[in-house]
Amino acid sequence: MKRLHGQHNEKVCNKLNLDPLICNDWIVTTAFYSAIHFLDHALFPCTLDGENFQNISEAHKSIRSNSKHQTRGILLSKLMDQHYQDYLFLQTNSQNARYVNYDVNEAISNRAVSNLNKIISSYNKEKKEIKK
Amino acid sequence: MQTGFTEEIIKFAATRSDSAVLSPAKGYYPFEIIAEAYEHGVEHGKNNMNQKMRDLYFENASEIAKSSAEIVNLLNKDSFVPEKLFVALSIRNSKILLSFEDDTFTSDEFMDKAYAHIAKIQSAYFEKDINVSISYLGENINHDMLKSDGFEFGIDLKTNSPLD
Repeated sequence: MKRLHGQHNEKVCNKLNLDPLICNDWIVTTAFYSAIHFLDHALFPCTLDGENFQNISEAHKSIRSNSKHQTRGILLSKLMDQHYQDYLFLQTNSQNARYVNYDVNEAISNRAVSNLNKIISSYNKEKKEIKK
Repeated sequence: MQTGFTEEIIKFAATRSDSAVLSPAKGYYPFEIIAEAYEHGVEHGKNNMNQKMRDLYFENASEIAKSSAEIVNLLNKDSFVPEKLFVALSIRNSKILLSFEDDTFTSDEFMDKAYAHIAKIQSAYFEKDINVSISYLGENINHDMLKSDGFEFGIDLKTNSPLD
């Protein structure tokens, strides 16, 4: 289900990326919301410091962080470090679009798509899950 | 190295009203404060709560000031010079936002290197049980939106003068 949701959001992201109207903020947002589903599918179930987590909600209850997005970042930093930096780029630029009146630079949206593609390509390489 | 701003963050934290210090906690009271209230009675707990929460807020503000200096230092080593620093302080969850010239913020070099610094600092502070979310922005910032999201402290890093 997570993977399918990720693919669904990826389709929207790709469609927006081809749109001549250019909604860079939405490209970044859909890239982020696609990435989180692929990453969650790869991450869970997981074990951290002896605790088992079936999903992000369970992990967030145990890990005291600012948000589920930050909890996911913490898990990535410990279990799938190779994606942590790309994830941070997507997360922060998606969340900060409101601070620049949603006028997001094309270089940022291009990098967001590239980061999403990196995550997906790593995911596809491993077929079922990104290498943990 | 840009570091003078850390004193401004601490000064800002020290002069916040009780309502500003307590409201972002949103019903969160650390275990030790609840335990003390239980042990010594509710009145005693109430009387001490504000001061203890203020102490925690101030301790957290000092850590956030330190983490701000560390991330700015790492960025400076790569020759990325932030223009403005914004901080949303709270007892539990604090946020740091650094803004750059658009040319820097959108450069491949920045996008390749700067996010690794966020990863490094956030992870290090999480290990110390301190939640800090760091992010970057370009120019043309909507300051009203930042304020409404709790970024009440802002400073121009070139002049070291607090922003309104």
